[in-house]
Amino acid sequence: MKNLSRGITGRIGKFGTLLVLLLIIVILSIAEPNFLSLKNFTNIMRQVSVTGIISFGMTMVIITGGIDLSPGSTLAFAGMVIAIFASAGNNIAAALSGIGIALLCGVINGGVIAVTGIPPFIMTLGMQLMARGAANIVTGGFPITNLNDTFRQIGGGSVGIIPIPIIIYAVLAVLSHLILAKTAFGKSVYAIGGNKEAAHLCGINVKLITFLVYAYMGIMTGIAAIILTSRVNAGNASVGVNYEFDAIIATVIGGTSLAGGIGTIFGCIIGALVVGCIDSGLTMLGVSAFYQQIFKGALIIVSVILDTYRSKAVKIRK
Amino acid sequence: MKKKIVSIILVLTMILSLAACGSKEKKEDTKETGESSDKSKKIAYCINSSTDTFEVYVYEGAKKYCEEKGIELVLVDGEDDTATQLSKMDSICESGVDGVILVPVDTNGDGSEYRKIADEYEVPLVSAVRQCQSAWVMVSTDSSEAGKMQGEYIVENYGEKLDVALLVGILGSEDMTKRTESLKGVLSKYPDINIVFEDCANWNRDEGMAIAENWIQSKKNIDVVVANNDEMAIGVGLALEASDMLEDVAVIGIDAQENGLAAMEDGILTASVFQPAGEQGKTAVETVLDCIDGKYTGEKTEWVQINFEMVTQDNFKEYMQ
Repeated sequence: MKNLSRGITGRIGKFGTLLVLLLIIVILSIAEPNFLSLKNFTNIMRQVSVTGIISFGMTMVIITGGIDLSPGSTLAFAGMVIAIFASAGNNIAAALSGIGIALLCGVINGGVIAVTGIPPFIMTLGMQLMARGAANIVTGGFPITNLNDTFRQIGGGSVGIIPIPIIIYAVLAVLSHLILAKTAFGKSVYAIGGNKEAAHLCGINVKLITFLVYAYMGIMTGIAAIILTSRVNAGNASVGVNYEFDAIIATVIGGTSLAGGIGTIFGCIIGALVVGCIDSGLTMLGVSAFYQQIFKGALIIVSVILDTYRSKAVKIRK
Repeated sequence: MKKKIVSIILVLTMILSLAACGSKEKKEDTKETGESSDKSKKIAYCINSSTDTFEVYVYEGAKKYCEEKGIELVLVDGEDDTATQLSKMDSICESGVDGVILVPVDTNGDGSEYRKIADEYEVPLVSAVRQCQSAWVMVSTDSSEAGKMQGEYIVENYGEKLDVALLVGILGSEDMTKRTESLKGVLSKYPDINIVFEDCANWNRDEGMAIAENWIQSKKNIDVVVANNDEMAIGVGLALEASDMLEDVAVIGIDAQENGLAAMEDGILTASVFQPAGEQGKTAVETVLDCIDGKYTGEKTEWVQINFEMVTQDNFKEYMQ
């Protein structure tokens, strides 16, 4: 009996999220016939692309056993600078400065965490406040609107029928997956999250890897900032609030353990789609905003409960 | 032992970072208020949150007026948290001010906790934009008026048989409840006006856009979208633009500030309700001066009402500067 339940939880761990996603799609399609269409699928993919890209970085950070609470604010800060350049017509400077600023925030996060060893929760919480403040300082809280039309293509344009944000999302998914699954760096990331001491004893430069993971998170946030700023055609210091939580939710639902050491990019895409489908489906059904909050809250709790069972199952197997 | 050292370092860094933040803020403020030689009057401007775009416009109006008059205006950020706002207001009063302009974070209570601080330091308290029921004077519009104007505009221009989608701000906030209630009050008089969607986009453009995309995907008919503010309405407009539906759906917001007016020029926003921003800030400062001069005594809360104006495609150019 014990064996059986172990086997089931183990299997739920592997394919559970995919099953949950399919179940959600089936239920929503029955309730709202327009839900299941190619157009709506692209719509959902485009919507999740911004937090989805952030969650690629988040997946790596969480696999090392860390957490990053700053991307929402960093995104706003980078977005403001992007908008300044894009409204002046200089798109290359806009893109580079956006990635540069987000990278800088990531480098500071990673550097301080690696060198001082303070908990990532504290460091990135501090960065969350600082980046939000910096975003406000850029223009004193005013939004920057009316960016140029070429720049708006990044978030609004498409190649054939595929919107550009989805293409960027897909490219970064492949890149992140390759880095995580096929490189020595990726293996070190898992090793650190599994057991820091053991990783250190095996000759892994724990500090350097930690630093690089947060830097990667910064780059992802910068790219997400470019897409979002372009989509909404404005830089606004109040944008991106709680995006880090959306990214964390997608990551955790996708099977990445908050305890570290476990997680995949594939899972994180599925997780983002679960959140995206629920958001889209409930809105299309006209479910009241109050109930949507309750639903999302419950989803987070259930996914963390699943995570707890999963890590238990893994421990038993070990 | 190791834990102890780590925790001490943690506490130290936190204190240091706080101290660093504090000193930076101060510098910023003195710079913002300008090097006025006339330091006879100093007013604290306790804003609810420095990330609230509209409130920043109001503050800018107050600041501009103060610069002209040589009054020192100190911006105090409540960070969207009542407790933070109260303690910061206490600190700024302690440093010595002649009056306080308050944009309360929370407007559901009577605001007596703010009045208590003001009374302790014997300074007049004037609330701006958002109402503080215990202030000497409240400078504000009547929030429900804006929703009513939106509703009446819709019926007048689009008829009495409509499918309306509604986008509201942060649930439970005063502006959200009053604007929504008064709008629904007007619409409910017409049995053939249906509210097909009602969603919350937290005052934000990006969230408004995502929700509107989902509405469009549902393929339900929508004639008019009404939003509690312009930013959310612009998000809807951008989603409609991407689906080539701008012609079919009217989008109506509230605020009509620079961003909203620019969107009206682009045809993304159909109409909006103008809530004077800079003017409101200026009036708040004038009211504080009136309080100091003894025009208001604070015994009974008075209301200086600011009027809304409907901004449409015909007249939006008059509001552009």
